[in-house]
Order: sequence, then C-alpha cells, then structure tokens
Amino acid sequence: MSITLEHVTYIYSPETVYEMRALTDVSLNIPDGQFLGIIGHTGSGKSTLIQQFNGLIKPTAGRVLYNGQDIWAENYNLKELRSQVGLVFQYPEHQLFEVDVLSDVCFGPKNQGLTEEKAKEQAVIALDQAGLGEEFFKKSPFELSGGQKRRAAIAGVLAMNPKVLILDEPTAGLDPRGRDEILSQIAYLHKVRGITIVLVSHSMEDIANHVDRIIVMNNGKIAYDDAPKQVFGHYQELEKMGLAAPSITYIMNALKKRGFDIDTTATTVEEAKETILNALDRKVENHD
Amino acid sequence: MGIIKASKLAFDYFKYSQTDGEIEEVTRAVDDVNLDIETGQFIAILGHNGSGKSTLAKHINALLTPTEGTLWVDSVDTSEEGELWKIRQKAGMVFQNPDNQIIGTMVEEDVGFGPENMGVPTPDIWKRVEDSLHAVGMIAYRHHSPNKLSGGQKQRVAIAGVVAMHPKCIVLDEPTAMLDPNGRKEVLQAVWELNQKEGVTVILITHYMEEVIFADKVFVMDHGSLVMEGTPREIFSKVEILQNYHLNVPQVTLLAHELKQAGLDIPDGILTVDELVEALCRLR
Repeated sequence: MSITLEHVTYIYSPETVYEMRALTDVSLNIPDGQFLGIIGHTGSGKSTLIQQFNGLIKPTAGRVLYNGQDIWAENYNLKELRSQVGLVFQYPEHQLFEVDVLSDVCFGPKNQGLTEEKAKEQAVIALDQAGLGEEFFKKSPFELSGGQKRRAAIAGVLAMNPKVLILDEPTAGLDPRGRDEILSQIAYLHKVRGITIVLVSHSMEDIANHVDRIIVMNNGKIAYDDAPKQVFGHYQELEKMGLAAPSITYIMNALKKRGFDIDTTATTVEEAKETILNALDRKVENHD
Repeated sequence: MGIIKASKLAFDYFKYSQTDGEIEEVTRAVDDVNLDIETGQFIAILGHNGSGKSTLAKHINALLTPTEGTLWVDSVDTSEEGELWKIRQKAGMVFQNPDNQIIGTMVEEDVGFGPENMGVPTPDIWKRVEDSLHAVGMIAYRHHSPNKLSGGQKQRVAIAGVVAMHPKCIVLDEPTAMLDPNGRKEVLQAVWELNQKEGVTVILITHYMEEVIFADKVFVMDHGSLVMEGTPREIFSKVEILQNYHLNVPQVTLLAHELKQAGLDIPDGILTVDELVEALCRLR
C-alpha cells in the first residue's frame, strides 16, 4: 500500500520550442502513514512531482504505481485514485466558491456520489478535524480569516476521506500563529487519521519540526532523500541549490567551529537548547 | 515633520446589506494611529493577519483615505483629492503577488510604464528604466519576457517599476510571501540597497521575523492599533508579549531566550547567529 514512482521523466510541451524538462528519472516510494516533506527552490520540479502522485499529469517516461498498480494502465480508475490521494493546492482558499463553509466542504463527497446526508456527515467530521467548529458552518467563506479559509479548503479535501493528503505550501502567506495552527492541525490529522501526509514547503523550520523524511528536489532530480537531520547536515550544498537549513543548523555549526564539542544535528529550538546546555554543563564539570 | 506622518488615523470598512443597501456592519480596521516616519528610514510593520497592517499601508499612497484623522505624505494631506497623483508619485507600493503587478510584455516596457504615465520625456524614461533595473540587479533581463522570470526576479521588476517613478518612499506589503528562500534574499537585498544607496524610505510589511532585524524601527499592530514601537532589539527582547500578539521572534532570538530562561547569562534581544555564538563563547 503505497505510492511508487519508477524512473519518471516529465517534459512540458515536448518537441516544441517551449520544451522544458521538469523531472528526470525520478524513482521513489512513499509507504503508508509516512509524513514526508518535499523541498526545492521555485522551478525545481516539486509541483510537477506531486501532480504525478494523483495522476493529474502523465509521465513522459516511467511508471507511477499506487498500491502496486500502474495508474496509467488501461481501465485504471483514475477518478477513484484522485479521491484516495487528495491534493491541496497553493492558496487553496482561492478555490472556495460555495455560499457557506459547510456546502463548500460537502462539494467533494457529493461529487464522489455520496448522498446529501452522508456527504454532510463526512464534511462535519472533516471540518471538526480541521479545527472549524459548528459556528463556522453557515458563514460565507469570505467572512473567514486567512488561516480559517485555508482550513476550510483543507477540510474540503479531507471530507473525501483520502488515504494520502498532499499539501503544496499550506502555510504560504499566513502569519506566524496561522502557520503554527495549520501545521499542528496537519500533524494532528496525521495522528488521528493515520494517513500519509506529503508536505511541500519553502520553510525549512516547518519541515524540520514535523516530517519523518525529506526529499530535496533540484533541477528536476532528487538531490537528497533522507531523515531531516541527515539532509540538513548538507546545509552548504543546500545553499548552492538556493535553499537553506533552519537557522538552528547554522548556530550549531558555528559553535562547533568555535571549539564547542557538540553534535550539530539539532534542527529545532528545543533540541538545540538541550544540546547547548549539555555542552556547557560538561565544560563546568571538567573545570571542577 | 517626517516624510510620513499620521495623526489619530482611523479607517472603517462598511458592509452593506444586500437587500436595501443600508450599512449593516462597520469594522474599524485602523484605530487611532499616530506615527511619524523620518526620511530615509527603514521601517518594518509586523502584525498578525487582520491586524490592520495592509489597511494602514494603503493609506500611504492614497488607495484608501482616512475615515477620521489625517495622513500626510511629504507634507501633503492624502485626503485632498487634487493631490492624488502627486502622492502616488511620492509613495510607491509593491504587493504580495508579482503576477498581479506586471503588465508589460518585456521587462523594460513594464518598468517604463510608470514614468511614461507621469509624462516623463522619452529619453528620460529610458534613463530611468536603465537606472532602476541596475538598482535591483535586473538589467541583464531588460529584453526578457516577465513571465519567464522566477518569482524573486518578477518581484524585483515590480520594485524597479516603482523606483522608475522616483518615489521618496516605497511601501512593500509582504513582498516575499510567495517566494522561495533565494528569491526572498534577492528581493530584500534589492530593497536594502535602495534604502542605503538611494536613501529611499522603506516601509516593509512582513510575517518573516528574520527580515526585520536590520530595520531602523519596528511597529507592531494589533486590532488596528499600534501596540509596540522600537528598534528590532527592543521589540524582539519581549518574546512573551509578541507571542500574545500572535507573532514570534526569529529562531535565533527564541533559542537565546530559552537558554536565558534555563539560567544562562545571555543578553536580551539577540538577533543574529553571530551574536548568539559570541555570547555562548563568553560562557565557556
């Protein structure tokens, strides 16, 4: 049960003057229940990559498998795939269109052929898990704050009960509190629903705090595919790719350079605090 | 008086009833704001979504005019209708989404649009286009089509378009929100140089705390009011207060704060990696 890409290459407008190679020989496997982060600068192929996961675009070469089945084989039910692999685009709140929040969230499940009643049932659960209570159901989407709109849009995809939820820059343009709220909500969903989460982000701090694994895209290829600590260890290479490690990584490396005997793999404030306190305590003990 | 001065500035948004057109709801987005910004300063405005930052910013180039109180741009009252174009020439604005701001089919045409509209003679337009593209480091792209540029490059073209109008002040409303780390760096660098080299007054609205540490002054808004005002160091030494306003501090500052709470002797308001590393080295 997983998403697998085998040697996927994707070329936009092939054999025209606008031909552009977006993905080159990408192979990967996303097992069920993983919390995966994808990073890469603008134009590195991230968005093209995630559109492969639910069959929005067809690879120029290579295969995409969902639960072991080739999604581009004849008679494969792509519609079913898209309801299992939900994609939340950038600025999803631009896609809210119904008269009130509840109707908007019901749209997906109704489209899947569910009865009005069943659709509503799933929508209510999704809204609750996205952190929007009953007081929001009858509000116009335009009356919500930025963070609330985005949660309503995420609920719209959740209501279809996807097994995999892909989010393209879910925190772009939100204030710090809004960012924290959306990210904890996503982490909560991962926990309560046990679904696979794929998070595309420019924010290294967001990624560092939440994911099990990071894929770094560069020029349409996978540059790194590893645990966050290992990936951020390559911070100098990441910079060359137009990325950066969390600021914590820089502090730890600078301290090491100045002669601190410390492990530099901390990526969050909490971890860094522990590491630094330990390093200083040990110094104190040595002096005794 | 500084280049921008607000006195008891307030602004209400009205919601009208769809049936009879009567005013149904009044929202006060900016409430009793007083400020005075000196020429040449680099100002940052922080505040959570809905705190009134953008509404305040739109007053500076007269996209909105005050419901109460007064705002002066270079001593001109923005409520005086006859002064509108003069004000927009003095204070330019750059928005969040680069794709919504570019209209030309070639970079240099886009940058020339503003001065052309102002009636600048043609040879002078070309001079201005060249100078402003130089200022943002985009001169090599003058003959390119804007839609083939990266987000950071597009945003720098948008900034050049404002610079070509020779404004005294530029207001940037979350100019980096849609950019990747590299694009963010490019745009900030361009803005910083305009401020330092050309002496343009900059007002930067952002959600990225790391972007404001070089500002001369930071304003924090909440519920339409100015609630904090000070240097970045003064503002960021108040970690808990900022968190109450739904904001945070740069990660470096947060780590320094946490270490201090844990008993280490570290000064308040640390802003950069180097400062923290120095402070920790002193403790060894």
